[in-house]
Amino acid sequence: MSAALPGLTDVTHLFTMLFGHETACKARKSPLSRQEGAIVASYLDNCGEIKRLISCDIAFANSAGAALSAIPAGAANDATKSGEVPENILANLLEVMNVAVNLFTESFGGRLELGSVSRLSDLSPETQAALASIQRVKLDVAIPRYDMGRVDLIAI
Amino acid sequence: MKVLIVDDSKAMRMIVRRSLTQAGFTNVQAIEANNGVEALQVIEDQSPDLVLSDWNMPEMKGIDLLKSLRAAGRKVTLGFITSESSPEIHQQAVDSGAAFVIVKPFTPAAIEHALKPLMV
Repeated sequence: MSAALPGLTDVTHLFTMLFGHETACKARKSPLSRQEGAIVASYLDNCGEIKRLISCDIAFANSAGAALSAIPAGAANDATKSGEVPENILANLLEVMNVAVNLFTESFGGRLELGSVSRLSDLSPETQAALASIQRVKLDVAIPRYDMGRVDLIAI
Repeated sequence: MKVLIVDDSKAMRMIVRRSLTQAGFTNVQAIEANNGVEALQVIEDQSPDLVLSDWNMPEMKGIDLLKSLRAAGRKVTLGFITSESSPEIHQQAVDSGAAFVIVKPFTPAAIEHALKPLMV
């Protein structure tokens, strides 16, 4: 893991706080491919430049978005199977990504703010380019009762 | 006991509410405000027993909320729940009259540890 990014324990604690259940995070070797990264959140410094990204697959998007407000796991897991992220779950995911800015406060060494949360198909060219960064923490995230999802935390 | 939760994140307000319940504070009546300015009005209208406030918020920061309350002579107990973890920030909070500082991410146990002495 890179010092520019939070460690496994930090991520586990934040997700456990967010979802209210002991959430298990495990390091993964291969990064999410562009096709697998269904949703991307960008975090900006006070000059408006992208400094960090969180990319996640559709399973994490549905599981995290649903778990935040206890939407039943069945509904989230069905959405993942059908390859969709319903609007109500996407709205919750935005809140998750907003709180996730706290992951970067210490490792970045300054304040960042959430810039955008976008589906892969809607990314700005700037975010697309930033996604190429190889400085990343790659995690499998298991929220009890919900499908396991994959998340990459990316430093630019 | 009436607790005002002040945070510009809807998710964080929900998490604090849930954590209060998980920490065993089931008789708490939780009310919410989106920022310091809104909190001042809610405190005026509803006189909560405890304020749990974020530090960084638009309109008015948590520390400015605390200073405004003390300047107005209001002694309502206020604690911070914040991602700010530097000793300087914590010292500033305590010097300004904060009862405690809980650092995000937190557990229900951290909420219980901070609030229990205030409940007796």
